[in-house]
Amino acid sequence: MNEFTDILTTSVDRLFSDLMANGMPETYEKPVFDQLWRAIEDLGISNLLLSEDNGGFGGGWQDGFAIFKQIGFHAIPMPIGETIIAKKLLQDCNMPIPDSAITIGTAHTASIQHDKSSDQILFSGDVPALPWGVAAPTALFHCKSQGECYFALIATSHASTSAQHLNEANESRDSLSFVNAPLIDLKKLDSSSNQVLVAGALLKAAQIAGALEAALQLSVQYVQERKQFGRALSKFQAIQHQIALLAEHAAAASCAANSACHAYDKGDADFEIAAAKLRANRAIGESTSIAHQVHGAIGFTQEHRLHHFTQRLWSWRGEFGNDRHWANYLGQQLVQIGQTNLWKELTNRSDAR
Amino acid sequence: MTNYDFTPFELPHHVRQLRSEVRAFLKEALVDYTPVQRAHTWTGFDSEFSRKLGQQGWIGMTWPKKYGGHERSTLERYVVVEELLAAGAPVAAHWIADRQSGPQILRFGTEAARQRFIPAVAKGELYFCIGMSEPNSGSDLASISTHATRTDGGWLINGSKIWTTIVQHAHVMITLVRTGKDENNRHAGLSQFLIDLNSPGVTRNGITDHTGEVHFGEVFLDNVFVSDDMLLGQLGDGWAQVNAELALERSGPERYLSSYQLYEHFLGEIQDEPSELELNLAGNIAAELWTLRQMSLSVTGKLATDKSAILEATIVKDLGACFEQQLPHNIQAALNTENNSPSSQSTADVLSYLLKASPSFSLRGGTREILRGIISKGLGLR
Ligand SMILES: Cc1cc2nc3c(=O)[nH]c(=O)nc-3n(C[C@H](O)[C@H](O)[C@H](O)COP(=O)(O)OP(=O)(O)OC[C@H]3O[C@@H](n4cnc5c(N)ncnc54)[C@H](O)[C@@H]3O)c2cc1C
Repeated sequence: MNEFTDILTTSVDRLFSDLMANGMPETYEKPVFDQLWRAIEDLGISNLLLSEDNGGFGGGWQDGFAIFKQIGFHAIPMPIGETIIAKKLLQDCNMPIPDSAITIGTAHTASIQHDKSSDQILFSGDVPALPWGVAAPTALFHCKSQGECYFALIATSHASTSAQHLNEANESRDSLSFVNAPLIDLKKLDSSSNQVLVAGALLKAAQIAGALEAALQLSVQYVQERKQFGRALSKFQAIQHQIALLAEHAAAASCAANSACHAYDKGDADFEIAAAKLRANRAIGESTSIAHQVHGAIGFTQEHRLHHFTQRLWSWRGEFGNDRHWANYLGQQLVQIGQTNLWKELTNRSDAR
Repeated sequence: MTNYDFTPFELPHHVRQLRSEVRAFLKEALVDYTPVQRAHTWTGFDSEFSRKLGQQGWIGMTWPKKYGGHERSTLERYVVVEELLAAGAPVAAHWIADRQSGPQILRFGTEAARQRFIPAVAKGELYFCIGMSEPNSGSDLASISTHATRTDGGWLINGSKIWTTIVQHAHVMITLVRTGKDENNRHAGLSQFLIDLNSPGVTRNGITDHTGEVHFGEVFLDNVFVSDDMLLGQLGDGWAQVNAELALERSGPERYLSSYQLYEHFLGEIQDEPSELELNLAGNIAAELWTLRQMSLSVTGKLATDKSAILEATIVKDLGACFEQQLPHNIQAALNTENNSPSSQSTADVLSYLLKASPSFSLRGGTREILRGIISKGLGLR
């Protein structure tokens, strides 16, 4: 970590601690959302990856990692990572960069038309599971239409219907439908690789690492405080070994997500991000089971904080690609690389160019 | 936020050249090696190969030139080691000497010991083994009973060691023995000695393991004389020294690559029209393998800048051992077989060998339970 990341991490840590000081805010309510977003924007975090010319910090994905992980560690119910990603992707393909919260998603059954009379590009399609899709004013979609891939930037207020959904942790995952809605901008993409999905997976992997670390910290603290049979739970080897395993998973998820960010800074990182999201996903089952086990009944209550992390972890495992999705993707890559080139390819991708 | 740190580390550009050199060398050197031989990786013994590797300058790479070393960087050594392991090269003969005994002697040994042993190790001609475990002392290493008593100009050693890898081929054993007792501190009074295994009073027997092969063995020490200059480090400092040695033993890429050969075979098996189940397993293994390599690289980056990474190395070893131990089982479960065998005989042979070898992965170099104990300590639980 460089000095900039250090300072950033510290100030974000403080901001996030403040935001959560009065309990979990209900950000699926628009007024609550707007109020919180202003506090976040005061720090300008969402411009993290924008160049200085665009009013940003000129940060890289590794700086992004520091923030993404904190979002998970503090269970912040806001699309901060999504907005950071959207702005970066927009900048990279020379699209206009709105000054608002921006959600990201992949549109299904999209159609794009040029309306000659109004000289507007009109978008029709359904976008499921949009993080704060209703509350965030703008959305960036990846979509396919007639064999071509596009980024579409749109005001969410143009949705013809919108359904608010919540994931296991009460985070907004809304479904929006658009019928001939005007786009702010549209960009045809050269690559068929869906970078909204890829970058979103990276965000989730880093958030998972943060939430695992929070669950680990809660567990370590709790077993030191709680006494049974006349001694702290932490003195029982069965407890120690379970928590050691939880720490191993948290370390693996964190190293994977951070390394994938490192690779993304260098260029194409679809392989690394797939591996990182999959590894982070695979940490969740055993880790959450351990965290709850060592907490006993108190950890099963609404009042205890543990569920803020475990419920997020269960949700995030499925978001931006579950295990099956990324394992199949990686499996296909590996079959293409083949038995004899595997080691060559692994090292070639990681050694400095 | 936590007590461990896995900052990503990237190997520098110049290692690419070194990789190609090692690959070109291995291509020729391993021509006659069967898949099962390759699957042995760092348990495959071939002194001819070790000698050739020494000639290449790839043993003792980081050691001072005046002792026959090559003064190359930790990172270059890492690259050579990972290339050897990934290719399944038979490195067992010099492995222990290169990884831990050499560095241990350079750090703690007398000048006489350095001059006597290090150059021959770097040539790939002198082999070491580790004399820690005893019949009644495994995980509880401090309870050993092999002991040294003072005699004219040196020490007389009595006792026995067991599970000693390559003891039947090795020339020297770094041996942990009791030289004193302190009722209040069971870690005090331990010392390390360099024992020439051809000395009078040494008897060694190979022990056949359940793969049917002999890799480790037992040694009996009956009034074995060692001169004063073969005491390694300070009298009574054995415990701290052994822990320094174990740190060298726990951080390398050998801790997740032991089953790697089977993964390559599996990719060969599923080359044509892979099913979703097969793709899924191939992908899951890739994610795990890639992550472990990033973790191992991160530890290497820290060690290269002389930072301590004991907790991180322990985490990598435990995760790595679980991964390489489960891999043969996962592949067996997913293989498309006819009459109980996969399409190629080599896959079947490699699988069969690794199924049998895999229980040792979480025993050697510190058991899973001992490692998790160390991690708990690092987390402040003990
Ligand atoms: C292939 C192989 C090569 C080896 N090579 C060498 C070598 O070169 N030199 C050498 O000195 N040794 C070597 N060993 C020995 C190895 O270091 C020991 O096997 C290891 O330290 C465990 O000791 P043990 O086998 O006596 O098992 P034990 O210590 O008897 O343990 C048996 C089981 O009980 C568990 N256990 C023990 N104590 C505790 C505790 N306090 N809490 C919880 N669980 C516990 C252990 O983790 C293990 O699962 C080798 C072993 C193998 C398998």
